[in-house]
Amino acid sequence: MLRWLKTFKLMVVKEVSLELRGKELVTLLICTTLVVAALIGAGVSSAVLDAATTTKIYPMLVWVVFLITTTTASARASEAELEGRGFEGLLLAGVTGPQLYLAKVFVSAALFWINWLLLIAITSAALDQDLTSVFAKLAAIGLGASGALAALITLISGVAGTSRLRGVLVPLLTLPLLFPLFFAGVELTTECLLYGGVQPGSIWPGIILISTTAFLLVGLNSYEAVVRD
Amino acid sequence: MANAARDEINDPAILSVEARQILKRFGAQTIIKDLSISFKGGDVVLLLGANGAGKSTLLRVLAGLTRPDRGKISITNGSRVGFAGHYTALYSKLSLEQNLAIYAKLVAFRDMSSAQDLLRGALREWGLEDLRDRSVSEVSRGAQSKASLARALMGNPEVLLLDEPSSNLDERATETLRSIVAEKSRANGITIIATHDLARLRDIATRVVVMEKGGVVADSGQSGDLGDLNETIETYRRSNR
Repeated sequence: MLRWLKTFKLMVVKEVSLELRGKELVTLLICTTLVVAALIGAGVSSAVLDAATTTKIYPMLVWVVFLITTTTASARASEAELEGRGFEGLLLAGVTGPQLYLAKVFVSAALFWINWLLLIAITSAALDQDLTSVFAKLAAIGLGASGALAALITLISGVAGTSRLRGVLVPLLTLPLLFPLFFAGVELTTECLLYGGVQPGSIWPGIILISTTAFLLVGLNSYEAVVRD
Repeated sequence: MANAARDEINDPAILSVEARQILKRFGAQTIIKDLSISFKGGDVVLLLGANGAGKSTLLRVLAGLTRPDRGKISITNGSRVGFAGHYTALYSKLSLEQNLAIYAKLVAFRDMSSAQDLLRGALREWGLEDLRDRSVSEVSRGAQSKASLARALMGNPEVLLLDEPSSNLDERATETLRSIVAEKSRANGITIIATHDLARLRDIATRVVVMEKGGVVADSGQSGDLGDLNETIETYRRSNR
C-alpha cells in the first residue's frame, strides 16, 4: 500500500511538473474563462435585464461557461503521454494504468476547481450577484463537479488523443455525457442562491456523486488500454 | 515485473524468455506469423531482418507493450524488463533529469537504493550531465537515445530489449552500450537487440536470429558457436542482396 501511494505521489508530481513546464492547461483555462465570462457579462448587462431575471439565469450561464471552457481547454490532456509514449516506460517500470489515470484526474480536477472559483468570482462581480454567503457551498459543488469532469475528460482525451481533430472531438464526445452533471450543477447553484444552501432531500448531490463514480470506474478500467491502443 | 535482485539470476537455467505461437496482425496485415522462440540467461541476441520483417513488433510483444492476437509470452517470474524502442518513452516537455528522476525513484522504492545516486550514475554513464536541465524536445536525437537507454537500464533489469539502439549513438555511447550488454551477459541476463548495425554490434552477440515476413528463417542457436553465428549472418546478408 505504501509503495502504491509513493508511486501515485510520484505520478502526481510528474503531472504537476508537466503542467508547470508548459503551463498550457492553466493558460487555456484562465484565458477562455476570462474571455467567455467577460462576453457573457457584457451581453447580459447590455440586455438590461432586471436583477431578479439575472439571478434566475445566473446558474445556467455559469455552468455553461464552466463546462464549455474546461472541455475545450482540456482537449490535449493526454497529449504528453502519447507524444513520446512516456507511459510505456512507466508501465514497464511497474506503474499501473490506474495510477497514471488517477494522477491525471487529480491534477486536472484541482485545476478545474481553481478555474471554477475564478469563474464564479468574475461572473458574480460582472452580473452583480452577491455570493459571499454561499461561496463556500458553491466551492464545494464545484469541487465535486471538477472531479467528475476530470475523470471523464482524461479518458476522452486519451480516446481522441491520436486524432488531428482532437480539439473538436473532446468537447463533442464529452458534452453529451455531461448533461446529468450540468443539470445537477444548475439545480444546486439555484438552491444555494434561493435558499442559501442545498435543500434537505435534494437528489442533485447524489447525481454528481454517481457521475464521478461512474466516470472514475470506466476510466480506471480502460485508460491504460485506451492510450496503449 | 519487479523484485528480483540481480544476484538471483546467476544460474542461467533460472532466467528465460519464451514466445509460443505468436500471431500479430495490424488490420489485414500479418506482422508476426506463428512465431515460437526462446531465450535463456546469458544470451545476447542480434535480431536481424529487412524493414517490415517484424523485429520491432516482436520486441514490443516480448516487452508486453503490444498484445499478440494469439500465442503466449513467458518470462521468468520476478524478472524486470527494460525496453528502448523507436519512441523515447520520455516526456518531451520535462528535462532529462526530471524524466530519469522518476525512474530512479521507482527503482529506489523497490531496491532501497538511493535515487540520487542512481540518477547521478545514469547521467554520468551516458554523458548527459551538461544537458540535465534541458527538456527532451530541446536535445539532439543522439542525446534522446542516450536518455532513453538510461531510462531502460535504470535499476539494471534482467531482460533488456533494444530496438535499433545504436542508430543515433556516437562511438563513445556505443562503447558504453556494448560494455553494459557484455556485463549483463556475464551476469546471465538476456539482451535482445533488433539492429541493422552488424559492424558495431556483431562481436558482442552470442546468438543471431534472422526474421523475414514475420517468422524466423535462420537461428544460430543457443550454443554461442562462432561458426553457427557467422553462417547465420551470411544467410541474412544473402537474403538482403
